[in-house]
Amino acid sequence: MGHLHSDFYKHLLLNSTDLLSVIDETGVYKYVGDSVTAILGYTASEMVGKNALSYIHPDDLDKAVSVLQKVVSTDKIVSPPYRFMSKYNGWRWIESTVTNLLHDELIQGFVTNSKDITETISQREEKDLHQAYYISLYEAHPDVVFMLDIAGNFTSVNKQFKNKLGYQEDAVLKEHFLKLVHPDDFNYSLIAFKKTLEGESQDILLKVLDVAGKVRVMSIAVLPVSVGGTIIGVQGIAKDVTVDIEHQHLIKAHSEQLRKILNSVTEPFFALDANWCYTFANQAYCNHINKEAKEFIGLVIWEVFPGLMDKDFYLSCLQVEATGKTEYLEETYDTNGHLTLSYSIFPFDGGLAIHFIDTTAKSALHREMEKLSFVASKTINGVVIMDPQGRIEWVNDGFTRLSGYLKEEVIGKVPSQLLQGYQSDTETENYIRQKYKEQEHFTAEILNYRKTGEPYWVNIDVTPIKDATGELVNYIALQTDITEKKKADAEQLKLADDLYKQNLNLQQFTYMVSHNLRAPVANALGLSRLARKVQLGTGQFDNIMDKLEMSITQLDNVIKDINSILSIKDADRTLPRENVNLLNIVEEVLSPFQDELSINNAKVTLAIDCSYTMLSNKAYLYSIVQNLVSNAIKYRSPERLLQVEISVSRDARGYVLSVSDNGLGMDMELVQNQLFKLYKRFHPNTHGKGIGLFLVKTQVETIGGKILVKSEPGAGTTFTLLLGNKHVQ
Amino acid sequence: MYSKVFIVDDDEISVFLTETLLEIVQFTQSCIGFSCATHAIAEIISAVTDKAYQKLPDIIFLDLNMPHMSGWDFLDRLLPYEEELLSKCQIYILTSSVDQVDMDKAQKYKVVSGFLQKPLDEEIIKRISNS
Repeated sequence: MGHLHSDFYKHLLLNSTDLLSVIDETGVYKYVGDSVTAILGYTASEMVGKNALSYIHPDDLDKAVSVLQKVVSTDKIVSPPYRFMSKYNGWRWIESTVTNLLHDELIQGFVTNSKDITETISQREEKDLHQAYYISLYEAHPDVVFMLDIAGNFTSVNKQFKNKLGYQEDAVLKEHFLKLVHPDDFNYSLIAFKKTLEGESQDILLKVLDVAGKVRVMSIAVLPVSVGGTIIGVQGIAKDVTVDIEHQHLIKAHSEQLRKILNSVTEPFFALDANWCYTFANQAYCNHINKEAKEFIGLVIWEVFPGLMDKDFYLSCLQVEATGKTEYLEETYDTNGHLTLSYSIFPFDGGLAIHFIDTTAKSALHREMEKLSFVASKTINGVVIMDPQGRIEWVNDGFTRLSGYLKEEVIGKVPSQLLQGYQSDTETENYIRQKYKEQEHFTAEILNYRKTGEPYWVNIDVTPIKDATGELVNYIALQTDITEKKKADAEQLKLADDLYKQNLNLQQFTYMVSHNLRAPVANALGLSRLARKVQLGTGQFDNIMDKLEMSITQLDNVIKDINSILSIKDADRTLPRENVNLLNIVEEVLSPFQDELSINNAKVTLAIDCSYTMLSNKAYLYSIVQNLVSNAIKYRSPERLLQVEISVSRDARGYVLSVSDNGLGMDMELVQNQLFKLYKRFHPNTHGKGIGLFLVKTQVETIGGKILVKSEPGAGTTFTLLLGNKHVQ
Repeated sequence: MYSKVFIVDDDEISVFLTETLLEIVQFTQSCIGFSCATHAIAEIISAVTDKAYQKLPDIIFLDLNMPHMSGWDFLDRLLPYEEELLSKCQIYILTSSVDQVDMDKAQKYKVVSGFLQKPLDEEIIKRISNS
């Protein structure tokens, strides 16, 4: 080229896109080409003398220093890109070729040939970024990602493809996607693929077979991939939702089960959300309010039933909402008759769950019981309320008055065990037990015992109380004190008994009297008729006359007897009583018999304390002892000398007077029922009239005593008088 | 005329009266009075058990109201021998009782042929003789 003009070089350097400069070993500019102004904005003269390192970004300084060090021992080095501060345009990426011309005499430095590569750098960074995005989206995607060509063959799959489905990349590449689809979904998947190829992205749910042949349900987003407007394939992002689907099925099944359970509950149940809207109601509730669930689900309860807002139920709901604590409430409604509901209100899922039972019957019973209890507490009769097992639940004050037991003492006890004692009638107790068992109403009269042990008679009236279903709920027993009535009954019974006895006595008396009157009358009548048939003045006639007189005398005696008997009977109530010394009276009786006794060589023994005195009727006592002594003499044994012993002793009730002899005696078996009857005689060869012992008995009973007899034929007889204590001083 | 009559009665006047009357109307060849029923019953029972029927009386007049053994006791003791006695011996109750109860009771004994009230009179005796 020959030798060119220096201006030529100057222009060349000025218009070059490269910056040519010379720096010394330390980096100080010795020369800067004029092109610097176009590249970095500085003038050459501005830079000469300054160190090039002072323009370099601190982060890139090490790289620059290292280049300077390396170039010393080499001819030429290309620096990595570094940032250089331009005058107006901030940091610029610069790449430099450094040539070592230290030994060139003309230069004596490093020639640097620098280029602004900022644009190139930023382009490279953008490409790197896209690559990173792609990798993260494709390879590092947590889901399965795959590419299909327009034929439907796999062109690439990501790592998750292998992880999730188990297929090696090689095994599926170039294979058609249908190989992995469950036959059920062949059609569906082909249609979706076709649509995607037509440019439509979509989400599909597909049954896919993994490498083990197991069905996995995958949710797949399929997207068309187009280059320059032409669809070249399909990209898919698939998520294994097998477990989710199973869970969903499970949840659905559970909620269905729950719904069935709640519907089968016979008690009404419903749920409200936080806005008081119905979210659920079981069948029982629907029946209760007589609406179908679809009519009110989703509606606000207070709008469906505005009337409820005036009720305690409303306040309780507010309460539960505010406190989050369960509330229980019983409330009575008067619409359509009496209705009592017992609510349980639970906080539930931000709203409320409410269930209730109809306690109308129960509370009616309760009210009834309250009323009854009120009445019962005021009545003077005893009232006892028992549980179905017959245990006392409640008693009124009347019961306490009757039995002496306080309410607290008897709760839980069984009345019969508490009140009945050793004299209570077993038959009645059994009857009562039987009736309790049969759960039937009954009444009975029974002897009970007070807490103090004192017996009292009660009439009990026991009613079993049953609920609407016939289930036994309680027994109610009313106790009426009938002690007085029982006493009156007993008195009446005794009166009737006495009257009967009196009547019997009277009957017997009448019979005997009539018979004993009739006998001498009949004889007299017969004798007088006979007298007509025999000759006057003959022995036979005289005999008849004698007999006639005897008969009439007999008749007279009977009439006298009747008189004396009637006088005793009359005197029964008004008998005068006086102090009688028993020894004295026996001695008085014996004195008229002294002659008769001594003729017969009879021996009389007395064993009577001279202090024994009793309030009695002296005449009767005299007559009694006289009759007994007279009998002892009359019925003495012809085989032995008569011995009579009269003794008096005391016993718990009074005095015991006995008259004992060693006479003929009687066969008690033969005589015991007849002995004391009127006109009964037991000794055929003696002259008894059969009135003595009748009189004795009558008189003994009149002065309030009792007579007993012991006798043995051939041994003797003992009469014992028990003289009652009401006459004892 | 009967050959043998027993009178069982503790009332001696009544026995005397009956005996005298039977004698007057020539009712029987022999008449025996028992003031104690036990003696009469002993004799009757021994006659029956010994089959010495000739010892039995043709007629017995029986009082009811007696000590120790009453007329009823007497009849009760004869119950086991009733059939044997029926054809051989007639028993008439002879009592001062006018009680219907006694009459009704007497009818229950087969061996009793009649119920007579004291005093016994001629008409009745004749009627028995003719029967």
